[in-house]
Amino acid sequence: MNLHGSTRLLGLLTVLLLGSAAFPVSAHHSAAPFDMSKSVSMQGTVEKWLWANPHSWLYVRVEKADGTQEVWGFEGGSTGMLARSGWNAADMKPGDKVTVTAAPERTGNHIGLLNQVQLANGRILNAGAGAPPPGADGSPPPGAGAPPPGAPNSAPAPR
Amino acid sequence: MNRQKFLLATALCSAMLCLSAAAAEPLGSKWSDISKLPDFFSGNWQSMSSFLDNPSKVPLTAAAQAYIAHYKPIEDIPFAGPTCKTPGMPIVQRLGSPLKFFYEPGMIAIYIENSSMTRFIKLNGQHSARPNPTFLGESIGHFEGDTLVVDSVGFDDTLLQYGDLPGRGTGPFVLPPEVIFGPHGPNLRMVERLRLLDPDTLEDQLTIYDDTVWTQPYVASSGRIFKRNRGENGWPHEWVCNTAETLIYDPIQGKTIQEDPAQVLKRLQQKDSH
Repeated sequence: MNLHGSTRLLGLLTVLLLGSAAFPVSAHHSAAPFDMSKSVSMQGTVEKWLWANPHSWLYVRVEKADGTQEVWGFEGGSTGMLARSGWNAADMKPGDKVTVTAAPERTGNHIGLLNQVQLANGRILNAGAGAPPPGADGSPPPGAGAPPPGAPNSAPAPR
Repeated sequence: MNRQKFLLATALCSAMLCLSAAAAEPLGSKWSDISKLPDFFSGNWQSMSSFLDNPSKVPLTAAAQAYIAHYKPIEDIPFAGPTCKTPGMPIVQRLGSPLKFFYEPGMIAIYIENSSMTRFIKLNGQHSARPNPTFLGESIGHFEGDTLVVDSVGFDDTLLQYGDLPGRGTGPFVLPPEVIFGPHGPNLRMVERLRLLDPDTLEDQLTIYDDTVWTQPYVASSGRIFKRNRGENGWPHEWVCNTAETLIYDPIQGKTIQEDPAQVLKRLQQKDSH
């Protein structure tokens, strides 16, 4: 596992996490628990890929350097938004090896806000949490011509 | 001959009356009007704005100020509740999943993907004498040029954002712990003005009328911006709340209890095995 710096994308994901969900007693919450200034990356084995609303969840078993194991839960976006970002319910199954990048939960629980998953075949699924709107990486979306959503100049100005 | 003249004059008058009546029909009354309406309908619309507002200078009522004085900041979204209860208008339209517009004469419908709700806007009509409360309100719309003006009343238990906590909510995206949520009054009314800023940009400018909260109409910070998705991404998706097992929300503490994911996984796998 390693830590690296924050990204603008993760900032966007905070918003989109909130935005793409809707609010069950048990499934939706503010992104406040996540430390968006940090990012964790780890390799592990998929235990469960829960394709669901308001959030999808990826559970991964990670083996630490000392040989012990821990289970991490990564919160992703709604199914529709993930699908628009190229994700699929069949992308992962138990036993698959993956590398996950996420914003960790502040209190140290093994929970993260899903940012990226690299599959065993090298394919990368980006920006899972809430799924980025088109152009979230700064590039115009195919056919939409939208600016990068959430970019400072596209955000509402304080009144 | 006189009879022929009379019949001709009658026919001409009838035709003129018909034409006059047809001309008087407001936009949105006929199928053929679809070609005259601004294209809200191709693809879908992805919100690009924060779903909560930056601090406002709209003056609050004494009652609202008293409410704020005793407001306990929350950590989680206050409309969290069993079965993914909708926040209702206006927040529901601003969440991350897109909006999809549909038209038929006399009605525009908006599918709100993030809660699988559909909002029905009656065109060129009148409000009911006694609208039953709903989370999206009873909406009446009409076109003023290229702008769709929607007037909504009759709200159920939707939440309003009274304001932002001191020194909070000034960033480009405002998070729930930064704001003050509160109840609305009995005569809550919302007026939206929707228009295309360009072929792929939709603006929704909202004004809220609630004299139990504000002493003046509340105008939301710069109109909400939506960007159009086309093609595959413009297709609406089903949305069903079906992850009640993953996190537990404590309404007393106003926050989500972060369980050990190993325990959640165990629960999910046990469920799968049944």
